[in-house]
Parts: sequence; structure tokens; C-alpha cells
Amino acid sequence: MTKRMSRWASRIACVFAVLLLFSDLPEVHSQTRAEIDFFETKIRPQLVTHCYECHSDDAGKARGGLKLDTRQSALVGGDSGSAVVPRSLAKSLLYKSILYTDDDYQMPPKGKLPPSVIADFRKWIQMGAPDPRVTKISPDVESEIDIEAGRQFWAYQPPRRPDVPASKRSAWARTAIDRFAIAAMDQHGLNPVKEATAETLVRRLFFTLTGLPPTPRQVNDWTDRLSKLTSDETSSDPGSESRIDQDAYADLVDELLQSPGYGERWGRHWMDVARYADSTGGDQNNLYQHAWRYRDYVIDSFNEDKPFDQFIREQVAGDLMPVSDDNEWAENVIASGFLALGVKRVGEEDQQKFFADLVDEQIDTTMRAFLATTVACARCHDHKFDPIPQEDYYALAGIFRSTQTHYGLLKAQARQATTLLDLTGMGPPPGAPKLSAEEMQTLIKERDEAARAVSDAMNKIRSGENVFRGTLRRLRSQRDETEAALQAFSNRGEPRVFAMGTQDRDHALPTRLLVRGELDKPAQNVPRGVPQVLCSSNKHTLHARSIDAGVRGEFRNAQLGSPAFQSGSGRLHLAQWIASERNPLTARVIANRVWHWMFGSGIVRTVDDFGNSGDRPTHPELLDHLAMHLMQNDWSIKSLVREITLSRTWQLSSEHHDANFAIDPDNRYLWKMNVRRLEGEAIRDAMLAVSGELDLVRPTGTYLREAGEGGVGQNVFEPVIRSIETKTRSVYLPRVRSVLPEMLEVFDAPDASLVAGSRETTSSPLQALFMMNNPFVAQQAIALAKRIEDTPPDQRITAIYQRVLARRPTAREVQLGTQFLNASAGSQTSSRVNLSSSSQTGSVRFGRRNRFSRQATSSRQPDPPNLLAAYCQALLCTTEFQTVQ
Amino acid sequence: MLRPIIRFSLTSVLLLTFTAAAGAEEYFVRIEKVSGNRMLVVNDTSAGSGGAGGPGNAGGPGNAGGPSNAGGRGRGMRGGGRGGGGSGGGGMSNRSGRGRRRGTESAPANATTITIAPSIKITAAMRERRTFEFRVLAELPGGLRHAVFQNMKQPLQARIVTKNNAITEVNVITGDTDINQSGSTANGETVIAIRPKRPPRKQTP
Repeated sequence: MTKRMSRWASRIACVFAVLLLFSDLPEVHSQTRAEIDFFETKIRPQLVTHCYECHSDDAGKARGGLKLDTRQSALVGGDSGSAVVPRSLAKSLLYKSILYTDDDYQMPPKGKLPPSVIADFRKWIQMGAPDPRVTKISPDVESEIDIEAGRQFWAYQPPRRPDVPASKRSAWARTAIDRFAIAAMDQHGLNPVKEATAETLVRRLFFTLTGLPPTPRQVNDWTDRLSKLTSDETSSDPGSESRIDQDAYADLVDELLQSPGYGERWGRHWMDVARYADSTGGDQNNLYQHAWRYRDYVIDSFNEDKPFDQFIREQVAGDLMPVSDDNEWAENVIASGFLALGVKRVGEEDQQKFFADLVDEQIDTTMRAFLATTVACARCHDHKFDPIPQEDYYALAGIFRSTQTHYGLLKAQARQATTLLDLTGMGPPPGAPKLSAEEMQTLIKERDEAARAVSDAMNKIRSGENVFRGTLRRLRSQRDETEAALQAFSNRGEPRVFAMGTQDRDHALPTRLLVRGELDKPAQNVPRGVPQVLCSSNKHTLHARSIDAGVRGEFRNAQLGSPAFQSGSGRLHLAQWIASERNPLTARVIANRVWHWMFGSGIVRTVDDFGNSGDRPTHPELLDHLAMHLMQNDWSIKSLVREITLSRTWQLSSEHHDANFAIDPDNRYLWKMNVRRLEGEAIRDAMLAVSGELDLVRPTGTYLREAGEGGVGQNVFEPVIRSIETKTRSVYLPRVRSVLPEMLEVFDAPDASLVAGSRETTSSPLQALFMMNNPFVAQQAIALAKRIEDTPPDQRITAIYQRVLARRPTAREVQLGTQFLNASAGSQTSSRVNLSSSSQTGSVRFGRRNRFSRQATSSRQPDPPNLLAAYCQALLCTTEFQTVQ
Repeated sequence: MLRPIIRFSLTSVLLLTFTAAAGAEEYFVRIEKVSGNRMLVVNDTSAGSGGAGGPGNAGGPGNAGGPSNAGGRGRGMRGGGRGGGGSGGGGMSNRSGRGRRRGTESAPANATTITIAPSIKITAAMRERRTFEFRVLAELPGGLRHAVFQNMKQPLQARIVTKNNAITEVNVITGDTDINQSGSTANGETVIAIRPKRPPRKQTP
């Protein structure tokens, strides 16, 4: 390159660089210091005082399409034109309006500004309207979603009570549900199978409603009552062919709905949806020592048949609801633990990222649990499938960002720790026993020693001695942990009552839409609100809702007090919006969930997603009928369950039918009852029940108290958690994320990371091997065999079948069982072993390697095998025991 | 032949760096007083830029040619300086202003008043104990109405972040960042649970 060319290259480079430099500098550099000062001291305060209330982002208003809180918006103006034209008083509508000379433009509406202020505005416009308010951090993010078109989707239309369809086979139908079902079968050329037997129905009802098997006496009693109708009586009911006494059946349903087991069974269903767990999961997996209160609240709510809309409001905004007394206050606060139970990465260093993820988790859970809508997909972009723009996500985020979530944990153990809520003296029982004086003294001594150790270490550091950093950290942790352990009790050793829950922040946090969900890319402010597609036009912001007459009426009817939201988070509005009868999704979603829990699959199979990527309802009118039934019966879940159980559709047998199977192999049109594999909890509870070992008393607090505080693998150890043994119902077992009880894990219990409206049902060799080899199963078999031991030998098979399978054995089953039990009669003197001692060890070994024979000691011969226990265990391993027909 | 190419590259890199540096700046200040939507700040020359954050600048938000006579100012800032909230002389030290004044009574001579627009993000902050790294914590709801400012008895250290000559963020170092986030208060008290706020009483129909 020649010298001349290189000189030109340098010059071009400089010009290019200068252009680059000055292109980045804002226009503000053309305004002088004095001009900016004038604006800041004379003009901005007036705009803030007199104009922002109706014309700013923060007020959420743009009357006349005009905003005055940025330079750009003032220059662009509103519906009438530019508000400010630099150096032109005649063209500046802002100036015209403050003069009060034009009847159409008189601002501010409360009164004319003083002459000095008007003079300042005149001067400002004449000097060129200098304005440093270049506050656009990122350009606004616009959405292209057509919300109005989106409202036409089936799930976003309000449910209507449909006409019950007519059918040629309407005589078959016993209830409205049956009419919808038979009409759908008519359409697809299907025929319903016959009804289940009384024995089958009794077992089905017990498991579905309580999660426990019926006792032999209950089976006998109810089978007799249900089978009251003779063949003469059935023939007097033409076309019905029912062999079940429906009145007696209804009595059984009512009895089971009143049993405490109902709440434990159905509460467990809801806890799947609420992703209930006793730990944070995530990176550190710290234990939640107080999550159990929410568990008990759910169980009690189902037992009391709390109206579901009330249940929703309490979980979303319980801490904000008006109360009559302290008991109600405490219960509502505990209910708000719904928002605090989710997965958290408590080791996250960036507090803002942690908080954003917490809010995201709350949005996802709330929307999916109650509305089966995946709003969280819109965190980074518009929803790809549903009409939910990114703005809707951040409108909800504004509500949850203005909420403080209290989930506990110690700062010494988790970077993102918070306090708990203290409910001492408000009614809930303590979750731990009272400390004795000695125990109290021990705790105080531990705390003082820990504090002294820290003090000593600090003194050493100050005197120049080297103290290992890890040591200091450990000592501080010990000090904080011992202090926290002491603070959990009063001075007299009475345990304090703590709970997880939420509170409103003192002030709402403004929320900006984040481009691609990135914290450092904020765009426009988004006012708090709810998804637009589920509201009427322009009724989605909290402001619009607070002045809506319908919403105000709902607040009044629900005794929620004032719909004002400015000083709070807006969660009460959100709760009432979800629980409203006008919300098209809420009643449908819960009705569908109930149907799923009753039948094994929902009318909409994707129970957690009613959006475009979810399934369509197989019986849309039936779904609406169920939703209307729920709302018109005061949102009573028991009423809906009862209605379903009384239907003939629910009482069908599970028998196979070739012709129907060829048309509808998945049984979408309900021509039979689905055979369902029981959940792990129900299998475990059933084993304990049939063996007579089940403890039906609710435990106090959590079993994790003995495991300690802290993260799994750091302060708390997995073997300790897994060694927790109990004979209470499985709903009370500790549910530590990633450390589920083995039996539940094997039988597909969800890990509680997400909303789980339906569980997978796998069939794997692990399950079979577990049932055949696990010591817990063997213990139950031994206990069951012990109960049968006193029965005459010729009745033992029948007794075992009645206990385990709730039916009498067939002749063939008796023959096979007898053969098995007598198999070793020739070589053995007795089939009876010392079961009391073997049940203590829990290990009776059969033969040389079988676990049913007692382990040989040095000088004794092995005892004869316990064939009875082996036979019992074989029945526990059957598919029939693990499924409900 | 290489010399002009190298010269060209160096020039471009320098100028591009300069440009980028002019985009986002941070200033370490001491908040002396808070009144309404205004803060009286003093450039805090003792606070380094720490590990986190942008290019960092020991200057404050009011350097030569800037909106006041006090402290230092970032490069490339002229005229408007503080964008979203600059305010010049005659600030809080000379006016009673609206609302109660909070903070120390006598304002240092080199103090600057800045106006905090509602759109500016105000967060808590802390310095890592060992590395002194500056770490931004959670947002303070209510902005200048937060208890940290309402109850301030002594000056607060803070960092002001600007972008394109506009203040975008103020990060305030507080002893008690947020009782909801600390196991121990600045006084060393351990708080593991707080009483919930009492909701309104149910109206009898």
C-alpha cells in the first residue's frame, strides 16, 4: 500500500470512529447545562404533580392517548397531536391547554396553574423544550397475538348448562352423566358392558374414596346390602338390568365421604397438583421443616368439604383475606404455603435471578393447578401455542413480585434463606413436644458454646493469628443453627408455631417486561393484571378490575373487603379472578381433575393443559355439565364425587369386549370402567391395612424433625431420611425431593418438581422384584399370616382372600392354595413357626435362601418354612391386589 | 505496509472501547439525605469499583461539566448528565422541599442532589466479606419510600449505574438488607420468624 493510500485509510478510520462515537451519544448533548437545570427545577416538578396522574406509565394511564413522562412521548403527543413542539407555542397543545383559553383543552382539570408556572412553560418551549428524559432503556416489545380471535377457543368460552341429550337407550341412563355417556356411545357404535358386581363395587368405592381396602366384615355387610334386589325386583325395572340396590349404594358412598380417610386420599391427589414436598429440591435440597402444616390443611379442607372457590382464595391470598378470629387467620396463612412450597435453588448467588425464578415458579404452579394454562411459557416470548403474550406473564409477575414468600431455612445453610411466619398463640397446635428443663438448658449451653467459639476465633484473627476460613464459617453456622434451634422454643420450653406462607410487601414492585426473559434487558413497564384472553376486552389490568361493578360485587359476596389494590400486591384480585364463576376455566379444570381421579383418565386427558397443545374433551357437554353442577352446589367436591359415583357409567364393570375394543381401544367413550393400578401410597396403605398394622392416627408434625435442619448431603443425610419407619398412612410419609420413600418411587410417585395432575403408570420388573423381596412387604405378609393363624386350616385360604382381595376365592383358587400349604406336610411336622419372634426380626427364611426361614444360629437347626406367610406375600404380589377393577 | 493497518485497527479499537464505555457507567456515592423523590449524594472516593459491574469509575455523578460542582463524573457525560434524574444547584441543602428530610442534618459542601424517577430500579447491595466484591441484591419495594431510607440515621453507601447518560439503577448497601433475607440483623440478632400482618376484620353481613 502506498503512503498516500495509507494516509487516506487512517483518515477514513478516524471519520468512521468519530461517527461511531457520536452516533451513540444521546441528543441530550445538544442541550446546555442551564437548560437542563431549568427543566429539572421548573418543569418536571409541575409535570409530576399535575400531569403524571393521568398521563404516565407508572399511573398506567394515557388519557387521550397522551403520556408526558418521557421526552419522546411528549413530542409525539396523543390523539389530538403533539403536546410539545419546540420553539412553537402555537403548535404546542400542552401550552394551549394550560392557558385555559380553549374550552376543549383545559389542563390540569383541577384548576388553572399559577401565572408564574405558565410563564415557565412558555419559556421552556421557547428555549426549545430541553428535556433529558431519554428513559427508553429498550424499545417496547410488541405482540402480534390476536387476543380476540384467541377468545374463541373452546376452553375460553364460559361453560353453559347443556341440554341433556336424548338417546334411544336413555332407559339405560340413571343420571344426567349417563345420558351424556350413552349419547357418545351411540355416536360411535359402542355398547356399555354390564355393571360390576357388588363385591367389585365395594372394593372400588373404598379405594377410590378412601384409598384403603374394605375389611372382610365390611365386604360381607355391604355386599349383602347392595345385592338386596332379587331377580324379580330387577325385572320390574325394564331396561335397567341393575343388580345393585342404589339406595344402599348411596348410603355406602355417603359413609365413605364422611370418613377421615377421604381427606387423606383426596388430599393426596391435590398435593400432587400443588407439588407438595418437604424440601426445596434444586441445587441444595434443604428440608422444609414446616411444610407439613399445609399438608394437614389440605387434608382437613377435603374432609370438611370446603367450597373449592374458598379453597382457591385461601391458597393464593389467604394472608390477605378478612378474618373473624385468630384461628381463621392462622388457617388462611397456612393455606398460603401453597405458594411457598415449590422448587428453589437456594444456593443461587444472584438474588434477583433467584427472585425471578421464584416468581416464575409461582406463576407456573398457580396457573397450571387452577386453570390448566401454561402461562410460564410466555416468560421469554409470546406463547407459541396459546393466545398469551409476554405482557400477560409480566402482568402476573408484578403481582407475585410484590409478594414476600416465607419458607424458612437458615442463612447459615442456604444463601437465599427467609424467615418463617410465627403463628404462636393463634390456634394451630405445635409440631414438636415441649422441652424439659434439662433439654432447654442443653440447648442454651450449646448456643453459648457456639457463640463463644466464634468470639474466640474472631479474637484470634484480631490478634494476628491465622484461622482457617472454613473453620470460621463452620463456627458461624453452628452459632446460627443453635440460636435458631433455641428460638424455636419459648423461654419455658414451649414450642413456637411456625408456618410457611406469604405476605405482601410494604410497597408494590413495578415490573418491566424482560426481553427474552433476561434480567438486564428490561423493556416497557407492565401494569399488574391477569391474562387478557380470559377476560373481557380491557378488563385485565388490576386497575380496570378494581372499578368493574361485577368484580366489586364478587368481592362483596365473598366478603373480601375493598377491591383496592394500590397498596398491596393484587393477590386478592388474582385469587378472586381465579375463583370466580365467570372464569371459564376454573370449574372445568377441577371437574376434569375429579373425573380423572374417579375414572383414571379425564374428559380432557391433558389435565394440566387445556390449551391448544392439550387434548380436546371427549364429552364437552358433559364437562360443562359437571362444571355447572360444581358451581351450583357451592363448589362442593364431595357433591361432585357423589354425583359421579351414583352414575351407572361409574358402576360399569371392567370386562373386556372385543367389538367395543376394536372401535375404542382406549375407552375414551366410557363403555367400561378402566382397570387402574393403585398408587404407591394406596398399595402401601393396603398392605398395612390387611396385615392389621396400619396406624390411622395422624402424626403430629413431621417425621423429618429427627433428621435435622439443612440440605440433604450437607447437614441431613439420605440414609437417615430413608431409615424413617412408620406405620401411618403414606400421605404422612416424608416427601423429600429426590429422596422419596423407596416404595413410592418404585410405583411412580411424582417428584413434586412440577404440577402433576396425573401420574404415570409404569409396569416394570422392579415393581415385581420389590414386592417379592422387600423386607417391608415380607413383614406385612408375616403379620397377615399371624392374624390368620388362629383360623381353622380349611378356612384359611378364604380368610386370606377376603382380607387381601375383598372376595371369596374360587374353587380352583382354594384347591391350588391348599395344595401349596400342604406341599411340605409330608416332610414337616408342623407348618406353624414362632411367628412372634420372627416378626420381631422381620426376617423369616424359607429353605436355605428364602427369607421366610429363620436365620440359623451356631447350634440350632433352621425352623420349618412359614408357608402361610409366603402364600400371603404371593397374594400381595398379584396384579389384582395392586389394581382396582 | 503493516503500519497503517495497525494504526487503523488501534484507532478503531480505542474508539469502540471509548464508545462502549460511554454507554454504561457506575459511580460510588454516599447518600446523605433523602427527601421525597430526591437524594443528596456525595462522591465516595473511598469505595472502589469492586469486582462486579461495568467499567467502574472513581468519579461521581457530578464531575467537571456535570450537573453540580461536586465529585467526579463519567467520561462522555455532558449536558444532561444524569438523564432520568439530574438536578443541579439549589438542591436539598437549600430547600426544605416536600416531605420530611431524612439522613444527616448538615450537607457536605460537595453534595449533589439527584432526582430519582419512579422508573429507576433501587436495589439493596452488599460487599462480600472476604473479597469485597460488590453484589447486587433484591429490589427495594417502594423505592425511596422503603424503610431503609425512611429510617436512615446515617449516610448510606450506594452505587449509581447509568446508561446512555440516564440513571438506571441505584444499589444501596444497608446493614439490614431485608429482614426477610437475613438470618441475622446488623446488630447480630437472629430472627427466624416474624409475625404476619393482621388482615382486616370480616364484615358481618
